[in-house]
Amino acid sequence: MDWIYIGNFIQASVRAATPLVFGSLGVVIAERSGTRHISNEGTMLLAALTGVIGTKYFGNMAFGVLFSLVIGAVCGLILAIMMIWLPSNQTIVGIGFNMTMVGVTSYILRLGGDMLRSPVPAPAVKVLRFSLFDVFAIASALLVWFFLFRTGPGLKLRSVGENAMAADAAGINVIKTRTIAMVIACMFSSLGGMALSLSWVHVFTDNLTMGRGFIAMAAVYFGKWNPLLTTLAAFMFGGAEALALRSQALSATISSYYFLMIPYVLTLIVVAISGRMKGPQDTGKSYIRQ
Amino acid sequence: MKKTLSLVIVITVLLSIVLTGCSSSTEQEAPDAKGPGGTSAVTSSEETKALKIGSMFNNPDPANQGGWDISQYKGMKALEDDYGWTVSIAEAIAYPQVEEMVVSYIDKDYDIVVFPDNGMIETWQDMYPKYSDTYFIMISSTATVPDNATNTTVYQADQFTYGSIAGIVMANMTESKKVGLIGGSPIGSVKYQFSGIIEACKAIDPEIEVSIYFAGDWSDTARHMELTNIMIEDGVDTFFAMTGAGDKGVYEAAAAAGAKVIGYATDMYEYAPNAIATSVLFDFASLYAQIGQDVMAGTIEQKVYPLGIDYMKLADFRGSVDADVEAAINDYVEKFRTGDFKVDYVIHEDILN
Repeated sequence: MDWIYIGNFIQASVRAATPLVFGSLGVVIAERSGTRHISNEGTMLLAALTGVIGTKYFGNMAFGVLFSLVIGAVCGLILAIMMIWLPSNQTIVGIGFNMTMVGVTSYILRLGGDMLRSPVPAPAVKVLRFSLFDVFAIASALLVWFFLFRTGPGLKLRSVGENAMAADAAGINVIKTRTIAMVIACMFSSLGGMALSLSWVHVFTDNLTMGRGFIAMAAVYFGKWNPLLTTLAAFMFGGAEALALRSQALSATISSYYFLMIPYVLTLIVVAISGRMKGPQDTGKSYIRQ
Repeated sequence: MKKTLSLVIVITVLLSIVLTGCSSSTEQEAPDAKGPGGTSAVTSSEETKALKIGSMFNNPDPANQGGWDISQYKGMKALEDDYGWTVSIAEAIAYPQVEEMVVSYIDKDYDIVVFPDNGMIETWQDMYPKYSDTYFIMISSTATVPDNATNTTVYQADQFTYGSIAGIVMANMTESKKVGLIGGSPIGSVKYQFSGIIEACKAIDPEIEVSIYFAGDWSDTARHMELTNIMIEDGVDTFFAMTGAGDKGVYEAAAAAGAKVIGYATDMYEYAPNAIATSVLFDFASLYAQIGQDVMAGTIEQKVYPLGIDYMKLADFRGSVDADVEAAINDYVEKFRTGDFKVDYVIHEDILN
């Protein structure tokens, strides 16, 4: 094993982890405010497509990212209306949203034809060997941690997720706080989708996310809803995926599936050893003001 | 506010149901295409002029993703123009859902159901004995037809020969003497095909190293890209991928590194002009045209039709390799076709490990 191999491995791990980091930060923000963000997968998938659409339409990746962030925010608002305002069962809405997005993105892909199927240019700007998405993912983790644990609005957001009724009694607008949190959460999830389509594979294909939104959720549970621990967990999962693919070269007599299941076995193990997961008390519970 | 939103959602759902209903009734008004009665739906040329053919693909978007699917999709669709048949193709059908899909075709009086890939063999084996009024076509590299079958035909793709041609191309193209193979999942047909590539490379230059990786999935573009990158790091400069929609990850990684890919089954140049050197074509257009002719003439037989070297050829190189390399490849392929260049028939069972 040489330094080049190690460098390539680290780079592959970061590539695989970046979408998970953004996705998991979205889940942290939503669930810290009391809203279950199962729709993370669907939001990432939609953003992966809209990022490509925006980049092609405006001819510039920065505008593509902005366009996709706006779509992500709109998505967050729609989800907030369904899960917070109406309010509907958050788990069912999340599952339904994910399934709908698989169909919607595939349908749009077909409407877009060859224009959408063709690749987008790789990001030109790199920091060392990492893309701006990779760098911004780490910066985002620090920012989200600072916001949640070192600012007043962050404290309000967490209090809404821990005990909505008490927060309401203290004068915090629960519905408004959760709505804003959901919008921001979906924008982070969108960055996760774009990190996949724009920064990693440079193309959109059907169901591109392939369950990475759910792995991001597992990272959140392993990281106990803490942005920094969650980011660490996302990097661990990214590293496990990179290792799983590289491990196939180690032996011709061992089934490739043995190596490919490493990230998922790791997920099970870390969830098992991380003990009882005590998330924000009111996560997943609808709040109806009495 | 809540009531208005709920009302909007209910109206949207109701509209969806009504519109779906309308589209169903339109489909039912299509010409009655039920085949003639009796044991087979495809036995009389007089009564098979408006046959209905149903098929389904495991991957999404078979018209544009994965060479095997694209080639078959186009071949089947050509039957609409050639014979005025109705050809319905479902996509993204998971293997456990294939039976349900086939039953829905049968319920709508479809005459022929085509199973286009190896992963559907078990469902095909279960179904054709149960539905004698429907004709079943299986495209596979491992299926066989029992003597008493009256309503099924198998077209058996010779994947070893196909792999041998791909191997000839790769062995002549590689400068690093390292070629890379990427499979979606380790299934039987992959074993035959990759064995052909390994043996052809060995026959041309025993020093060539063949790396094999599986994505464990046919569609995960990111994972396919990473596997390609791993092999590029190892010096591989020529790739072949037997996979589905994930192939775009291979093309992207190869194009970025200046490596070349041999397209699978379809001329993939238009899908990845920067990566594709040539493609080894599987001529499903001719196959389906032949099926159309046999059905119309009532001469289709319940047996295994081999799809050998006559159904395989190289796509245009479009200047992707030097003229002398292209000439050498064409020469080897021609000699392989005539039997002057031989590839040992060795199946590497360990590929599927």
